[in-house]
Order: sequence, then C-alpha cells, then structure tokens
Amino acid sequence: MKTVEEQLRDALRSRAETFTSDPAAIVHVRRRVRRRRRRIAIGVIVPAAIAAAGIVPAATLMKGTGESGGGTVTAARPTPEAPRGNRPTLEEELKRHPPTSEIGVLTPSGRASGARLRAWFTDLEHGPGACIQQLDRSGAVSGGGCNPISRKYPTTLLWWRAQVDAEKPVSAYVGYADDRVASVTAELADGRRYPGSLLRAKGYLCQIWQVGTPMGKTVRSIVFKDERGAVVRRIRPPRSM
Amino acid sequence: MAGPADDREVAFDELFRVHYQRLVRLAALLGADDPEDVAQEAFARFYRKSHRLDDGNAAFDYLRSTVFNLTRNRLRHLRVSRRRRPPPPVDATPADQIAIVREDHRELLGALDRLPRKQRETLVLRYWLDLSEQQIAQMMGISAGTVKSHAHRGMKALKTRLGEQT
Repeated sequence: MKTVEEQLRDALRSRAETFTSDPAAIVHVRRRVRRRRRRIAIGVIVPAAIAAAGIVPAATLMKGTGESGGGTVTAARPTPEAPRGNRPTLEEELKRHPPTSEIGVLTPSGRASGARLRAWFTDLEHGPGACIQQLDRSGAVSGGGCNPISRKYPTTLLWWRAQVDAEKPVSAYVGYADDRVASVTAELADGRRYPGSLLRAKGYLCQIWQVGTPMGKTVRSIVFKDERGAVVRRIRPPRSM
Repeated sequence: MAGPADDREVAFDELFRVHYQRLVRLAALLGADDPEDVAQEAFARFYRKSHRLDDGNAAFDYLRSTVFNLTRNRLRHLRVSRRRRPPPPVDATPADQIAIVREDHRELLGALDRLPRKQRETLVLRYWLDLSEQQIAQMMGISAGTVKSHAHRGMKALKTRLGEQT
C-alpha cells in the first residue's frame, strides 16, 4: 500500500497534468517584452522631448497633473490588472491533443441547465483522456482542459464551475460516465433535484455528462441511474465545491 | 552570421520550450488564479536579465523563484481586495475558478488545499518539484529548520484528515 507521501506525489503529478498551456504563449511573452521596452522609451524620450521643446516646466512633468505631459507618462506605467494569458482555441487544443473521436457539443436541453461544452477523446501521456472545453456565449473557450480517464472509476466528476457565465446564476458539474448510465441528477441539500444531460458521439470511450444547479446551493449528491432506474453510482461533491 | 543578440533569442526560446509548461503547473499548484499569466510574466522579467544568467540552472532557479513570488503577491493582492470588497451575495468562490480533480486524489488534494499557506507551499515544493529543504528555505526566505517543521506539520495534518475520512 502506498504511503501518504507517495500518494501526495501521485496526486500532485495528476493535478499538475490537468493544467495545459497556451501553445502561443511565447508570442504573448514577446509582446510583454516589447510593451515594456516601449514604456521605458516613452518614459525617457517623451519627457526629454517636452522639456527640450520648453512646452511645460520640468517641475510640472514630475508632478503629473493628469492632463499634462506628466500625466501621459504616468498612464503608461503598468497597472495591477495586466492582460491575462489567453485560453487555447479549439485549433490549438486539437493540435496539442488530436482527437481519437468525433468532437461533440453538449448544450443543456429541456429542464436541464448548465454550460455549453465541447468534448472529444484523445491519447494522453499515460493513456486515454477526455478533453472538455467550456464555451462562452460567443463560442470562445472560457475554460476546461484534458483529463485522463480512470479505469478504476468509469463514472466520475472531473470539474466544477461556480458560475456558468457572468449573467447566469448557475453552477455546472462536469464529468464522464460509463455506458450503463441513462440519466444524471443533482440532489440538493434541501431535497430539490435537477436533471442533467449526457453526450455520446462516434468514437467516444464513454459518455460526457453535466448537471447545472442554482449557484451557491449545496449539492448533496449527483446520482447516475441506468435505463431501469437503478442507481449506478452516487457521487458526493467535496465540500469545497 | 548569427550575432550575440540572435544567440540570446535562440537560448531564450529553448529555455521557454523546456520550462514554460512546468512553471505554469507550479503556479497552478501554488494556487495562482491565472497560472499562465504568472509564468509569462516570469519569462518577460527574465528576458531583461537573461544576459546576466548564462548558466541554465541559474536561469531555471530565477524563473522558479519569480513564479513563486509572483503567485504569492497575486494571492496577497486578491486577499486584500476581497477584504476591502463587501462579501459576494451568494457564492464565495470566484466565478471563473475551474477545478479539475481526479476521483482517487480528490480527498487528499482537498485536504492539501485546506492547509495553511506555508505548509501547502512547502509540500508542493518538496513533493512536486522535489526540492531539498535547503532549496525550499532559500526560495521561501525562511530557515531550513522552519521548512522541516512546515513539512512535518503539513504531512501530519494530511494523515489525520485522511485517517478521519477512511
């Protein structure tokens, strides 16, 4: 049996593998470097040019009134909210994780709610994996990644999103389920139940599922049933979710 | 003929290719809300100093420390902003936070996430980056004895929590 130290190593390795990186990241880094060079150049050249032209006294520049030349230089400094790294596009993610299945789109229908997802299967370093991307209203990727498929748990919860989008007070739980599963339902602590949706496409190793619940409500369990209504699996999301 | 500037570009690209993903993952494991942003910022800062860091190991040490410090600063900044802001009405979790978890590791990682920050950082650096106590001490700016104590307390807490759940 593995020690806790060994389990921790495995768990950290496994969590780390779920974080993919943007293939175009070097372009973003170079852009940052160029932007910084420009700022330095503006900081040195503009005040010098203005002072040389005698437009405003040097003292005004140093004070930076906001409308003066000094204000322009101040505004060029980095702000705490620097631009973020972009999420990989579908093309970039497909290049990195070529599909071994069709690419399906899971849109909640009927009474079900949740996120709009795009999913396909791929081969990861240590075996097959499921790639699931969350799409925003414009169809751009807003989250997700590729995760290994566990043989030990053919039906599992992969990730959770606290709010599907800024305007929708819905949380979404996402994962994969084995072929026996015919329905997925979230049961809240107050007894309410919310139906989820399942997706199967050509070449899929298993089904992709999601279930949406009202934001901020505690989900007691996610229940998977077969065609006859028998419970296949019941997952209790961790308290942190 | 390639000049020194070209050589520097090639060396930078190579370093990026080898270490970028690992640094994104380090930032993510340390709890950064946007790990790619942290890793890209570390490389951008490194670029300005790269002429002073010819040794490959020194370069990676610099990048690793920068990622560690940027993540810490970012988390500190987020903590302060949350304190100044009124509490969110419904859900305390940031809306864009996405958690990817594997079933057989979920309980352990959940327990790790609940550890005090320094214990969590120590365990990530020790068991994911495989750093020595001395290296961790240098990176965190504390003594090797304190690292040992954080690691011991962190592991003890994990074992206790896992024991309670089984």
